[in-house]
Order: sequence, then C-alpha cells, then structure tokens
Amino acid sequence: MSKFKKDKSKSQPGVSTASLPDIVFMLLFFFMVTTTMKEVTKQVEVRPVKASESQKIRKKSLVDYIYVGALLDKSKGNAYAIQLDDQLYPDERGIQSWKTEQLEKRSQQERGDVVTSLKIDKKARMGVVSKIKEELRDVNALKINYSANKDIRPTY
Amino acid sequence: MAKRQIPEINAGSMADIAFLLLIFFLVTTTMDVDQGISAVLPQKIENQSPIVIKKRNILVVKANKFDMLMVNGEETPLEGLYQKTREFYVHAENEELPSLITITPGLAKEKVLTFKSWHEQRPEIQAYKDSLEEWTERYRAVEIFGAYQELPKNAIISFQNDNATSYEVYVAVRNELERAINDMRNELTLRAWNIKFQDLDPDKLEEKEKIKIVRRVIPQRVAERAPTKNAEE
Repeated sequence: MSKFKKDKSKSQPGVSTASLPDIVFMLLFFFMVTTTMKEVTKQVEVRPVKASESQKIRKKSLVDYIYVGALLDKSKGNAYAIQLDDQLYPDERGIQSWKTEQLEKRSQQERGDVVTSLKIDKKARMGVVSKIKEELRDVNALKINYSANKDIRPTY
Repeated sequence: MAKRQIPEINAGSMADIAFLLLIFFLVTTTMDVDQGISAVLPQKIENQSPIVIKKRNILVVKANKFDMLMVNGEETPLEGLYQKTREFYVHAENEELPSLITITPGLAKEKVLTFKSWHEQRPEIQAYKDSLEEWTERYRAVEIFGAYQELPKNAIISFQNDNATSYEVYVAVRNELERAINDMRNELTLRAWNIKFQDLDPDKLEEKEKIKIVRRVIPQRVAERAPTKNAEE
C-alpha cells in the first residue's frame, strides 16, 4: 500500500503558464471573428423587435443606419429622436441631406445597392417611421431593412 | 567568435500583450449582427393615377391605433394572418378570393411560341419582350413543378397601418406575410431541389435562375397604403 503513497515533503511544481498566450490569442481571434466594429455610439435607446423571418444583410459595407428611440440622456427629456451617425434630430428633416451625403460617398455602381437599416425602438409609433420612409423615397434610396432580432418560428 | 549564442526572446509578456488586444476588441466591437426584414420602397412617381383593382383581388390588411388587425374586413388576431395569406395564394374557386390561373405545360408552351413570334416581328415593343420573358419563366416552372396555379397579375396584398400603430406590430405583420410566402416558396424548392429558398445564392447564375422561377410562381406583392391619420379612427 505504501507503494502509492506520495512523498509529502516534495513541493508541488507551479502550473506552467507557457500556454496562456495561446489561450488568450484563441479568445482574441474568437472575438475578432464573431463581433463587428461599433458603427456609432448610440445616443438613443433602441429595444429591438423580433421577427422569425429576419435575415442577415448580405453586404455589410453597403449599409447606412438610422436609429430611432427615446434619448438615453434622460436630462434632455423623454422624447423620441432620430440619430444619424453622431447627430441627433428631433424629426425627420435631417434625413434627406444626410442620406444624399452618404450616397455620394459611394461609387456610382454601388449606389443602387445601398441598404438603409432602420433600427427602431419597438414602442415607436408608425407615424415617424412612415415619415422616414417618405424622406428616403424622396432621395431615391429605396432599399431598406427593418432591423430585427431572429426569433423562433411560431407554430400557428 | 564564430558562433555566438543568441539569447532567446523572453515570451513572458506575450500573454499581457494578447490580453491588451483582447480587451481592446471587447470594448470597441459589438456582438449584434445585422439582420432584419428587407423591403424595397416604391419609386416616387408624380401624379400617379390610382389603380383600380377588383375587391376579390386584394387582401386588405389593416392595423389600427390600438394595434388590432383587420383582414378583409374581419377582425383577426395576428395568429390568423398566416393562414389567411396562404389562403389568398392557394384556394379552391371562391367568389371572395382571386380566381387563380392554372398554368399547364400546353398553355405555357403555346404562349411562349406566340410571344416569341410576336417579339421577333416587332422587337422594339417592350411589352412583347416582357411577356415572352414571363412565359419562358412559367414554362420552366411547369417543367420543374408540374402544372400549378398562379395569382392573377393584379392581385396584391395591401397593408395599411395607422400613424399610431406601434412599430412592433407593424414588423410582426410584415413578418407574418413574409413567413407565409417564404413557407410556400420553401415547399416548392424543397420538393424540387431539396434546398430552402433562402439558401439559394443569387450570386450563382444557376441559382439566380431558380430564384426567378420561384418568384414567378409565388410572387411577393405587398403594397403599402398611406397610413391613416390618428384622428380619423
């Protein structure tokens, strides 16, 4: 029996940390692959809607974002605002000039494929959404995407 | 002095550097992927005259300011919309629903030949060219799926919401319409090619052709009417 007894007097060797960089690099690559760069700092609260038919946008480089939601900075009140890049607008009037500017950044061939992704709070009213859509139609930016998180398919 | 031992670079700080990079990425990136329901807005046309469509050829979906739904004049819960949409596309002859056109191999072939000869005689007329294209697609569809029934050309789903309808309900309705249409398309593609409609890649020429054919059989025609004003209802 004593054959298996360990010699208690010997000190335990320290855990080797040689593989720690590898582990951390692995984590790093995982995050680099699965995440995307932040487009802007959100200044409005957007509680996303859910939809079972939600699909990924194919070309990420050809997407512009419009955010609609209540202001995160509660000291400015509870009103809904539209955020375009880092600018906040109380109504839809800033959209046309912003969108035209965005389209001009792209080459002629790409312009028709640019998608405007609407990230809108679920409790927003359709009045503001309709107005945004009208503005986009005015500048002939017709492809839109109602941003929605993937939901499980209902059974009914 | 021929060979000098080069000291090994100390890799002890490698972990720290990697951690630093990791933390940088954690802070600057977001997890959420870009996904959603795509739509194409109608082009702006000045002074457009209203189009008259027979009542039976429209599936009228309305959402009011209380987020309640009405489908063809009947109050319907969101759960019922899927079934009604499918019914609009596929149903037995019924006076209140559009009369479907049965496309048979014989009919498709005949039409293709007719429009082909017309197009050859008058290549400048766009309508002949379009019709030829349409019927060629239908002919291909009949070859693949067998005889099928198609919605008449002017049949549409009309969706109208109120200015006070919540965005959540609006997206839910669009989603249900999309789901019904996607399911019908998937049934076709799964049967014929054992692939889901969404998995067809428009960048591949052959699959692009398939997408066109499926879209011809199950067209997605959702038109949005100008929203009702809050005060009206």
